[in-house]
Amino acid sequence: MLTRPIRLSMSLTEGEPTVSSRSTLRVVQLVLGLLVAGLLFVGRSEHYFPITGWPLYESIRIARPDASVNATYLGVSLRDGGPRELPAQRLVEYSRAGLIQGTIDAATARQDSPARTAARQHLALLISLKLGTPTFDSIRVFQRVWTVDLERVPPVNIARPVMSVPVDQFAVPR
Amino acid sequence: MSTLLARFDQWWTRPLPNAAGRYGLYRMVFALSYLWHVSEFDLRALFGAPSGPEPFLPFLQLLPASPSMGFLQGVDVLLVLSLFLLAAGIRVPLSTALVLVVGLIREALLSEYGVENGNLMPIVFIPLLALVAPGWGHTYSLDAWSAQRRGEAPVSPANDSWRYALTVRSVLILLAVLFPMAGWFKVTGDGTWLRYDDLLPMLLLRRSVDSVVMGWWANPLGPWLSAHASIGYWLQIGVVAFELSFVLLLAGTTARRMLFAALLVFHAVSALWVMVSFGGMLAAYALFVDWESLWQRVRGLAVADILRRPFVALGPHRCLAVVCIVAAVVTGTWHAGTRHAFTLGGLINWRTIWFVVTPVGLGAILVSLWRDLERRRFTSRESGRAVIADRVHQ
Repeated sequence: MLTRPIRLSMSLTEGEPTVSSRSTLRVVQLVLGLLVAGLLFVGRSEHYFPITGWPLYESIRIARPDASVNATYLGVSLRDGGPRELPAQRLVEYSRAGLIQGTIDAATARQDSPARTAARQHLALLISLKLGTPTFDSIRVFQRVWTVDLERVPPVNIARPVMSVPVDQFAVPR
Repeated sequence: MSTLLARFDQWWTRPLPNAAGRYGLYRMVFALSYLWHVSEFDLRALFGAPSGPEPFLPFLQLLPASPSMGFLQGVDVLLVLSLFLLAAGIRVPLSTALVLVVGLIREALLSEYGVENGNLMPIVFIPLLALVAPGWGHTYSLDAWSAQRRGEAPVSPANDSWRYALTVRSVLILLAVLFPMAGWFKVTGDGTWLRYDDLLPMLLLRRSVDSVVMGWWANPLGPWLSAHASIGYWLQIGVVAFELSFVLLLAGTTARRMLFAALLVFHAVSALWVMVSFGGMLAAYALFVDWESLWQRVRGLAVADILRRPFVALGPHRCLAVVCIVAAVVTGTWHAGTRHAFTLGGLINWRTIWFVVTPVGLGAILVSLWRDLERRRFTSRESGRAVIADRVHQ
């Protein structure tokens, strides 16, 4: 079967380890020791990436959800498929959604600037990667607002937003 | 002191059943789970992105500030190719090194938008340990098959040498450090976990609302949590105690199994109701599964034989060519849509994976705990009988 020899001499059930296999053990212990020492040294800091601890929500403070909630939505008109709307937070995998807010903020800035143009191009790229098609000319950014009732499951009736607030609409920069 | 060191060495050098086989099969599991992880995020999404909140991390200074589309595509493609080579066991040390370096670059690019959401265990720690504790290419690899055809003596998958157990024992220690660190930070940080009695219920309620807004499911316990928010104090103490208890991973097999069972439930709840993904950690937990024993159970089945037969007929060199062709096709079409095959078209994502892993893992752990219990009962019954027989004889 798919097997190969061990070059170091070792018995099946290992009695006393050989010198070379013991040196492998020492190297592994050294690397592990450095990793553990590094983790203990950096503590909460993320500055020393890729050695970072696990703060895991250590200092969160979250208030009871408000009586209403809003979410940013994006609307595009596909040249060959009509209008499409999607929540901005679902443009990329959820744990990487931090990428999106900065782009939307910059893309909907009031003042024209190269940074705004670049952010609009990036937003168009994100949408086209998500939809698998680059065939749209403009992007509409708007917010949907819902009432929240924590006594119900689900707490939000997603099909019935109380209002839609337009934020911006722009042509995709080429 | 010397006794302590001797016991420490003894812990490291205990044999592990099927060590060589399970380490070799784990290499494939690791590569496939990593491919799933890579398939979840298209790195091209970073092209032209505004700087994230953490652009000044020293490590990031080593990488291009505004990576080109070609660079981003290249990173994804090279990583996928390396993972394919690793899964098939082609040039294992080189492919492991490539997975480590390219994976780290990819993760660093993403870390600008949140280090905490990273997956350093499978991306950095495991490949690094596999590099310094070689052996995961010694079984179930094309490298090993070719070497065997050249006349070199094979390594038995049943080989229980501790040398093949170094990575699993290292990861055990890392988990026994990382989880208690998380608990320790919660206790010693700004104290919100012990100061506020409704922290977790509020987080769960907030996430339930967010989840629905994003088109997912609500937490069915929402109304109850809303009415009994003060239960949170005990939930929070429970989470902190749970994280601190991970030092017990080093206490023995039974404690470890029970902790892993609780961990699967913890991760499933986190993913489903807190919207925190621990999917990347699956690659670490998979190290503790005896894949060799599982394979021995299924290899006799007709399906396994049918799957194996063409590879055996081809031989290592033709297999190598086939794997290279498949790898080239997959990497070449990765961004065109092949990557979606690894998530079954989005069906297996960071949340839904726990629907599969948690019940299967829990079932396997409970069965093994039950068997251990039965074995102990049997042993104590037998030793009791032996004592009685001895007394009767006297």
